[in-house]
Amino acid sequence: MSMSQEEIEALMSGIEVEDTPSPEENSKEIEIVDEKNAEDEISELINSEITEVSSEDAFNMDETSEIMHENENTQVNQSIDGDTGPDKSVNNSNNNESSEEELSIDELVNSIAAEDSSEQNMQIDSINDTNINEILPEPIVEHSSTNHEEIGKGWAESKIDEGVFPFPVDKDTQVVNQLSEVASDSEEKASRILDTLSLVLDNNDIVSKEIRPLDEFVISQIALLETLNEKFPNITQFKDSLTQAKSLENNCRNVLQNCDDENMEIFGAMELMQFNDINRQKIERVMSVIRKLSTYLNNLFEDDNSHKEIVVAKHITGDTQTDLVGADDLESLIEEYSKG
Amino acid sequence: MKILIVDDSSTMRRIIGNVVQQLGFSKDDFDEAEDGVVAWAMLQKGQYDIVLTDWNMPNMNGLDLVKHIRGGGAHQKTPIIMITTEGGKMEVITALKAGVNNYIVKPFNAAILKEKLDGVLK
Repeated sequence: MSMSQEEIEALMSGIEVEDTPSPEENSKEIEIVDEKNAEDEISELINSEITEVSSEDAFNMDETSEIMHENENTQVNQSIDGDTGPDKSVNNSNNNESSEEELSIDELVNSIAAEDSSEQNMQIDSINDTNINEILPEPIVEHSSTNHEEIGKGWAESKIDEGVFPFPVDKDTQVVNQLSEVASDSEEKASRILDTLSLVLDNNDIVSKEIRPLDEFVISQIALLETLNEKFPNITQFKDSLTQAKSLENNCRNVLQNCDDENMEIFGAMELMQFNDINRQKIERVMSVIRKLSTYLNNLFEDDNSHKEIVVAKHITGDTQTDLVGADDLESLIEEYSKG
Repeated sequence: MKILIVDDSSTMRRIIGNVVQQLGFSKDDFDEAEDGVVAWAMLQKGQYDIVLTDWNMPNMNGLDLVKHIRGGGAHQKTPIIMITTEGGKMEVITALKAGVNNYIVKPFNAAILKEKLDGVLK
């Protein structure tokens, strides 16, 4: 049986397709491939090829061995790490071929492997060179474009500051958007301030509630100590305790008074927070005026779009800042170009 | 007593709530609505003794709410105090004609609200 040229090419191309992945990918594939299957396939393929060679003398031996060894080389690249692939394949082929043929196969395998590795190295070198050449100029180009952009931006900003150019129309410069943002942000922050004030009020309430029973207890103790002090005026312990209790009572009252005063201040602050709402409504009034003005100006300047865009003159007599041509200049120009 | 506070500003609702608390009411004594539509829905479901409403609000403004309330229903006779920044004479007249019982111009304090509440609740 002989393989047709098309079959051979198909076989080669099929193997070459598998050969294209990088050595790293091959090594990963190698780990996955079943070693036995690979060996069997290789030996089967080689056997079939060699059988053909021996049975058909007309077939060119060189071509057959080249095809076979290309296939083997491919299998070498795909095989695990040289332990199972080529050596074993070659050993398998030894069972069917003579020692001379074995030598020629080995030589061919080695020569093809050497060629492949040199080609790969050349390709890698060329890729590296290309990459370096491609990579190096890029930062220079970016750098120059960035400089241009920065210069342009700086110039535009200076013109905006001078009032020559208007602000670009974006979200940060649209007046109504900005005002709306200010109003809503102010509302949010005011709400947070109220949260804080409410927290202080609540804490003051807790302090007041906790102090009141203490105050009542101290008052009852004062009454008791006063009775004891009246009945036993010679016992200094009662007198001292009475003095301490009265001092504590004062402290309790001071704490309660401070809480009440603080609450009143907080209520005053909360009342002042009404100006947030008042100011918000003022902002909304300004926004309304701007919206109406915008609508009015649109109505004032818009046309019915029935006219085509007219080409306008660039230089008109009377312009002061243009390079206008005078009567004499005009004549001389006509004369000069008429000669030509 | 149950009070309904209607204002689109959450800050304002809290301020009015605090002022109401200063006058001796508790947090359970009042509910809040952010516009006339919500307030009207709450009035349909619950019973309130007094309504404190702003004028300028989205969806349904305070004046329309007053007209709705006075138009009929369970709260037709419920006292309404308008608390607003609208301080023009014509606006006050318009509100009073619509059925508002009293009118407070922002900013206000607890004493003013107490005086107005006492006036409408008598």
